Amino acid sequence: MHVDARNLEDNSLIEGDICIAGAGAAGISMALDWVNSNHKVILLEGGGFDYDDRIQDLYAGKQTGQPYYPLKSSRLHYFGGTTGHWAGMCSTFDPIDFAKRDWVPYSGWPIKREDLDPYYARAHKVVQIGPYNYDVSYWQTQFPKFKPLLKDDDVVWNKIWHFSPPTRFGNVYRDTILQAKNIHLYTYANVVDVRANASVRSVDELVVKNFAGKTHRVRAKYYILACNGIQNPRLLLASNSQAPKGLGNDHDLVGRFFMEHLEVKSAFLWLQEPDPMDMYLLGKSIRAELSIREEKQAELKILNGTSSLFPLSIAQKMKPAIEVWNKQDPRESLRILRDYGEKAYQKKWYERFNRSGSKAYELFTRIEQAPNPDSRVTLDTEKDELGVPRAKLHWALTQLDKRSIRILYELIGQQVGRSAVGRVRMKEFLHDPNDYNWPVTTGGGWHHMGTTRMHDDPKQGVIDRDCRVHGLSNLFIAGDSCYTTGGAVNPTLTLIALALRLSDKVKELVGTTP
Amino acid sequence: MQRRTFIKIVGIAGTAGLPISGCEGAATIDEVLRLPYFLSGVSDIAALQSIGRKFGKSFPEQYDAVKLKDVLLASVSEGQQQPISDPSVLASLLADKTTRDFNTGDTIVLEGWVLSLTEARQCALFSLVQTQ
Repeated sequence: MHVDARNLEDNSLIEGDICIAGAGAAGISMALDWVNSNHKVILLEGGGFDYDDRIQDLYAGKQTGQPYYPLKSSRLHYFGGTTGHWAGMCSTFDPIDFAKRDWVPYSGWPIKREDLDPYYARAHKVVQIGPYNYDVSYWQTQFPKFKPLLKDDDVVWNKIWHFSPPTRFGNVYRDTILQAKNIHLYTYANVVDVRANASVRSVDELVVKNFAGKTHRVRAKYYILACNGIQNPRLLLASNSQAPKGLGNDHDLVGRFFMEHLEVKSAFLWLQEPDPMDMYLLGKSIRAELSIREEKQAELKILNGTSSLFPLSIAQKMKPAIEVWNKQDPRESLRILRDYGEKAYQKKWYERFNRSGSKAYELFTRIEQAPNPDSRVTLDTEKDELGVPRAKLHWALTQLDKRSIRILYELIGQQVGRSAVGRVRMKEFLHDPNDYNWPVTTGGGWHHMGTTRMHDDPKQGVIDRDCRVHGLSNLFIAGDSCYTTGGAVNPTLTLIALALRLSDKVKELVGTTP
Repeated sequence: MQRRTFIKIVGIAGTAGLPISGCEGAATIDEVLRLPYFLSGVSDIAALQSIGRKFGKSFPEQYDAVKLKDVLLASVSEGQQQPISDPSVLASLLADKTTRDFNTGDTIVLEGWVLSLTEARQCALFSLVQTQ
C-alpha cells in the first residue's frame, strides 16, 4: 500500500516490524523479499514517483579533491532511486575482492565470495538478467561468434558481464510494492534524524519530514538505512544529538573510505588483422572484459580492474564521462547519455562495423581504488531545505591506483604480444611510471562505496558482517556504502545480493523477537 | 601518428605499408634487422623512430648501430651452423624471437608501447639508420 506522507496529520506516528529507509535498488530489493510475509514493512522514500527538482536539491553538496560529478545529479531522489539512470551493467565480485591483501591497505572483508553466491543468483532475477553463469565456455556455446582475443587466460582472463535491460525499479516494481498488503510505502518521507535510546545502544525511531511542513516519527523493531553511499553516512553523521560525532561513529569511520571505480580511457589496441571482437562489444546481453588473474595481482601487488574494448572509430566520438555528466540537473545528464547512445550505436554504424570489424580499439579501464581514509564524506555547515547539513565529498586517490592501471596495461600488452594478434599502446598519462598525476579525463561510474564499511572490528568498520551498525542493536545498513573494498565491477548486483543476505538475517531476527 | 599513415592503419582495407622495402624478396639483411615486422604492421615510421630514440635515452650504452646489429644477430643465431645470410630466414627468426620475448617476459614499455625487447632494439636501430 502507499501513503503520501504530505497528506498525513502532522506528527503522525508510523509503526511497523521493520523499517527500510530508501526505495532504491537495495531498499526495494529487500522490500520485495518481504512481500506477503507476516510482518509489516515500512518503506520510506524521500521523493515521489517522479523527478522533482526541489527534492533532488536535497542531494546537492560540495566536492573537493579529485574532480568529481555534481553530488546533486549523481544519484536520483525518487522511488526507484538511482536505478532511474543506471546502465544495467552486472557482474560479480571476484574472490580476491573479499580477501585481505597485504599490498592493499584496509582490505579484507569479514565475509567471503561464497557467502554471497546464493544471493547473487537471487539478485540476477531482481535485475532481470540471465542464468547465474559467468563461465566463458558456457557463453561461447550460446554465442558461437565469441572468440577470445588471447591465446590463453593464464594471466589475462575474460570476465563475463550480464546486461540488465536496465531494470528501472521505480517502473518495474511499483505495482508489486503498492499492491503488497504488508508493504507500506511512504513517499515524501525524508529521513532527517535517527534517534537512539538513552544509552545509545539501539534506535528508537526515525524522524521524517517533507516540504508540506509535516514531521512524522517512524518506529520499528529493526531499521535499515538503504539511502546510498553518500546519504547513509550523511544521516548517521547528522544524527548527532545523542552522539556528538554521529551515530555509529565512535571511531571516526563513518563517511571515510569513499571509493569510486576509476574509469578512464587508457590505451589503444592495434590489431594485425581486423576483428569484430564480438565477445567484447556492447550491444548484446553478455560481453567480456579483460581482467587480471588473482595470482598475478598478488605477485605484482596491484588492484583489481578490467579493461573493455571500444572500436576506436566510435570511442573517438565519445567524450569522457567526467566531461559529459557534469550537469547539476540529472535529467540533462540522462539526455546527453541517451544522445550518445543513439549516435554511437546508430544502426548504420554498427552494421558497417559488424561486417568488417576493426584493427583499432580503445581500451577503457574500470578499476577499484585502494581504500583511503582521507577520501570521505563529511557534513557541510550549509543545511538543506529540511534542515539537514549537506554532504561534502572529498575524493582522494593513491599512488597504488595509478600504478595498478599502468601494470594492468603492461600485462595486457604482454599477452597481446604473446598471442601475436597486435600491440598495445598506453595513453600518454601512463607513459611515465613515476608520474602519479591524473588526467582531466579521469572519472568514476557514479559508484559511491565504502562509507559505512564492513569489518567485525568496530575500530576498523562501521558495520559488522551482518551489516549491523556496531554498537546499535537494531540498526542495519544496506547498499554499497557497506563495501570494505570496491571490486572491479559495477556495484549494483553485489549491493542487491548483500541486501538480500541482510534481508534473510533480519527475517531470522524478527522470527525470534517476541 | 600522421593522419595519412593513421588512416592506413585504422581503415578497413589495406595494411600499414611503410614506404620502405618489405622484408621479403628484395629486403637486405640490414633492412630486416631494422624493421620490426609485426610492429611495423600496426604503427608507422614516426612511431618506430620515437620508440627507437626513447630506447636510446633509456639505454645509451646500447644505442649504437653496430652494437645493436651484433646483439640482434646473436639473439637469433644460437643453433645456426653458419652466419645468417638469407633475409627471409632472418625475418622468420626475428619474428620467432619477438614472440619468445613476450613468452619469457623480455618486454619493455617505450612511449607507451608494450614491446618485445627484440623489436625495441630493432626500433633503436631503425632510428639510428633513418637519421643517417
